[in-house]
Amino acid sequence: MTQGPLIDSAAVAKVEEHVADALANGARLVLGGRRHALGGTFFEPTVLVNCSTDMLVAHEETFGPVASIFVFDEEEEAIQLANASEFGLAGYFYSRDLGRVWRVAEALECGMVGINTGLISNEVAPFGGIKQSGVGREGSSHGITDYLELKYLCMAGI
Amino acid sequence: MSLSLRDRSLLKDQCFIGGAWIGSPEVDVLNPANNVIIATVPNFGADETRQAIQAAEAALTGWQARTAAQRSAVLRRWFEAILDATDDLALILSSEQGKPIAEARGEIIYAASFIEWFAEEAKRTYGEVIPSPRADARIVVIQQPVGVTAAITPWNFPAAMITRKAGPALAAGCTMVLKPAMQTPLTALALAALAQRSGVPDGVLNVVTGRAREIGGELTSNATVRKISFTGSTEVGRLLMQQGAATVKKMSMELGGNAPFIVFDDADMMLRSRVPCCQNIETAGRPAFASIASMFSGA
Repeated sequence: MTQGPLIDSAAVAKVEEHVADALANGARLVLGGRRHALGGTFFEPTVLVNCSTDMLVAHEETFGPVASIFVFDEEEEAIQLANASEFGLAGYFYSRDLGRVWRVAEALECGMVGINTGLISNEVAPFGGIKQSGVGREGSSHGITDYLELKYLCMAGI
Repeated sequence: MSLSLRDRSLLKDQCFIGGAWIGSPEVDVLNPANNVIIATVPNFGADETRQAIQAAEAALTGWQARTAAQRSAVLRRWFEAILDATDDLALILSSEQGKPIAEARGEIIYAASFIEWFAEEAKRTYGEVIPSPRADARIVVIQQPVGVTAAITPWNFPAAMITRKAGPALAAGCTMVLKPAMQTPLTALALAALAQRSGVPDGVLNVVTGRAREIGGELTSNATVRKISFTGSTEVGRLLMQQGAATVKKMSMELGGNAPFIVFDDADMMLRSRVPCCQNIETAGRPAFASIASMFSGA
């Protein structure tokens, strides 16, 4: 796996803040968590376990190499955790249960759902979010409608 | 730093307005991996943005008068020019953005795909014929370009976030003023250079680099601009929507995300072991749609 630097020092500061906040609120660090030995804006790949909804990582975009792991027991609980956000861009889940695939895909409050995959971006499908993740769609046959106006012509006297 | 580009002329240090390369270098673009200066670009503000909007307005009539097939052909050439320049574009992108070169190459190909797709979609902006409730009337709906549009794009995907706005805009017959992120303006300028070579007429696509607040303020308040398409944070999106409300701008907003990544206990074990935590890390957390919260069934 090859990983680049973060974009600037503000980005590094934000990741550090999120990691510190998670640790102060009961998360446990199992990997990384610090600036990388390369210096600059490089940050170690980081894995946090025992995360909870009161942490910054649960509410804000970290925009850094941090995986924050939450544990759930029931399907309904996972959906509630996932939807407890002002954002609604994408969601991903792994399941082989056909009923669950439909239930969860329909229940997730987001514009895009990856099912058994984390790679969903392409030019043929509509990219975009709901809730405070945005308005409109890009790509797909829908992407051009954002740049078109409808004009209704009523021709009478026929 | 001197990038070893096959085509040096793709590394631009000026803005692109009305088909002309203008402005003097004022703001350094740094390589985030080592803080070395890659190039220096103009620090434009409201005046130059207004100039770009005027150029986009002047170009609008001619561009929308072309047939869809003609616009499609121009976009197709741009698509091929981007693909032909993949190596150089990937190097510029990787240098200013920091993502590994393989990822940068992937983004260029992904970015080009939007130009190809919308070159094709240009020909399919169908209308509608609606059965009339009146015997003496007929009802038809046509689709027409919105007009002068503006795009404000982020640093996380310096190429793809531009092409998926400029592609459909130009295909539809709109013209555009683009403000790329100041961390990553060089990919945007290189794409504009390729657009120019591919026959995109002067003023149809304009690129302004500089002071975000001023440029955004002009783009959102200028009545000539009919639409804003923004990719970035929810916070800035809210601000742009507020600013654009006075002139009732059409808005496309691709804002923040906090994507859950859920692994149920019935998931395929091979996939479970391979994927869950990796996506955020592989890309150093850049995509807003990458998972932030990975949830595992405790069962």
